[in-house]
Amino acid sequence: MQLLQQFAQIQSQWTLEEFVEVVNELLPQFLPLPEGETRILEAVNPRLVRHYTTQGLLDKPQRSGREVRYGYRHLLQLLLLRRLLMEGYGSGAIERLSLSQSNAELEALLQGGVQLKAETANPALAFLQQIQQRQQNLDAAAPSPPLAQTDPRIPPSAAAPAAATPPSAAPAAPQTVPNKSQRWLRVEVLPGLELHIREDFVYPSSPYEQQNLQQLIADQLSILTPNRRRSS
Amino acid sequence: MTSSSPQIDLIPLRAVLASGQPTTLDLVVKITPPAPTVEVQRPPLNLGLVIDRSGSMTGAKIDYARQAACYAVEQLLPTDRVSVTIFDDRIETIVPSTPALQKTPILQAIQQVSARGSTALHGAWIEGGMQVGQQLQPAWLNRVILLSDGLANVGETNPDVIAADVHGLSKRGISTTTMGVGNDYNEDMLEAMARSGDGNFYHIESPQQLPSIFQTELFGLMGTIGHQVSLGIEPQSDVAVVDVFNDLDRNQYGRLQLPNLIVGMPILIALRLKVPALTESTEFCRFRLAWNDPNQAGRQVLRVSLRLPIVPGTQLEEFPLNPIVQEQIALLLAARAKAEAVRQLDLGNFAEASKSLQCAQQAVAAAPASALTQTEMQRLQDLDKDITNGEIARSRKNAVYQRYSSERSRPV
Repeated sequence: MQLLQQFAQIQSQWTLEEFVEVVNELLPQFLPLPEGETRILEAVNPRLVRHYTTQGLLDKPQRSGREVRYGYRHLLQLLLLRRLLMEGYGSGAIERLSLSQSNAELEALLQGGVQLKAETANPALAFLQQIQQRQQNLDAAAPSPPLAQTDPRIPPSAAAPAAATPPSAAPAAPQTVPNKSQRWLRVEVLPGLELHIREDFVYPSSPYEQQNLQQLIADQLSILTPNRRRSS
Repeated sequence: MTSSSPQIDLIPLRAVLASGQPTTLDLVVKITPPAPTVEVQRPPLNLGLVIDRSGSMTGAKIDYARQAACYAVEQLLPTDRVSVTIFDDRIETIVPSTPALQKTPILQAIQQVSARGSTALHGAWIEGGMQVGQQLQPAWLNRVILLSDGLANVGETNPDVIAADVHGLSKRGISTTTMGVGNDYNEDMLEAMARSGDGNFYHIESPQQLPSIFQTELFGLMGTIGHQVSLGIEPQSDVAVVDVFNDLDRNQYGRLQLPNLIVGMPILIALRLKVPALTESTEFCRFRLAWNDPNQAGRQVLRVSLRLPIVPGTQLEEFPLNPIVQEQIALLLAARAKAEAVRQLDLGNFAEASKSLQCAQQAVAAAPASALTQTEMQRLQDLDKDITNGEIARSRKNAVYQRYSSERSRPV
């Protein structure tokens, strides 16, 4: 869970070989889980890192004398790069994304948020989402029959009360304007515990994101149900 | 994939200019995409099929639409991607974007589509775009293919807004092709979508044509070696462009927006230049062809210029008129006559519309006889006959489709 933050705090400076080793150790957690068959994970090697750098997909390494050094930001960029490539994004979209975003934004992208990533990484999708938002705003102005059951108790935007959000686990804030006709699915996890899932919610694909999400749910539960826990 | 350039031939009506005389020079610019010299390795396709299943599609139309979609899926390679979105008043993606690896489940999903409801055309196009967009790759051929037989009556219905959206998406790497089936859709809107979407527009009179139209579209897509194609015409010194017979849209730099460069499909642009009196041979017009190649970074540009020998005026008649130029101009004038006929039909002036088509027949008859001019004569007669018989919608749709195709040198 605190995986990335540890690296951020120690401000590591790696040689190329060390950097490659760290990345390969971390990668499995950040890549989408394979569907069905097991996927043979392609390891990153020094040549690949240099290739990405000349392609402009990674920041240039720092120089220290004759040696080059890689740091935390390079780590974030490379993890995100590998992940987006695996998900089929073009290098054009990734270039802008991984060079222009701040460290905090790169962390957020790795930690969760398929929707968030899609919007920033992909100009065509971002454009279509804008159109969709425009149409939804128009629809909201005109009365339309609800297409599906809506749950009046939960406003769609209230994914998590702000106070309960640990700084490391910013959830994938849905960026679309809440639409009153969106569908919600109710799943009873245990007697007395239900999940409400909006139809456009995407379950994260990497172990790291999944862990973050589980942690977030656990945190919420422990805050909302402290009394019962003590009495049991 | 070979990266050889398209070839540009400049074909003047007469191969020389008369010395010391101003000349009105008709000219065809023929752009021939390179034939593949080695085995064609095409870029992968990223397709979004968007199919109307509104109530009016009931019967043969939905049958053939299913067949056509299945046909498209069957042609794909495992490296291609495809999604299938169906729409009436509701929009449903029955096959989210997936590699065309295991085709059976995709085909089964398509087979189960039946007709119902009204037509949320714009929303469905967005959904199809999203499916393609989620897998957007600049080196792929990313396209939404929208098939409809009806009028958009749910969601956004303003053709200008829709065309602007389609244009915006094409600028971001996803083109749009539209197919109108039958006599009840809005041909102006579907054509505008295809024009602004850098794709193709097809009018499909009878549903039996659907599978072959899909084949044309798919083979075209597979043979696409250039998109966002433009042609700049740059007359030198005192030369002026009097007319460009292809009524194509222009881009922000005033250059003509051409259809995609597809292997085996040359594009012919006809224009008329006013050349002042010249006494010696000189470059008097330049042309700049530009396009995007999925396999290469940046814009590809090819330049050619026109220079003709000068002969004494007395020898001019010794040089024959070029039949290709005559034929092309006759066809494009017929396309203009069709546009005028459509305008008159919209005003309710059926007699005027007929007259315009009949004038065009005379003009085509005056051109040297060829297979193309013969077909064109027949088409003009059929359009006119439909008007006489009160089949206005049919005549209008065919006129729009034929004009659109002629301007872009595409077969109907």
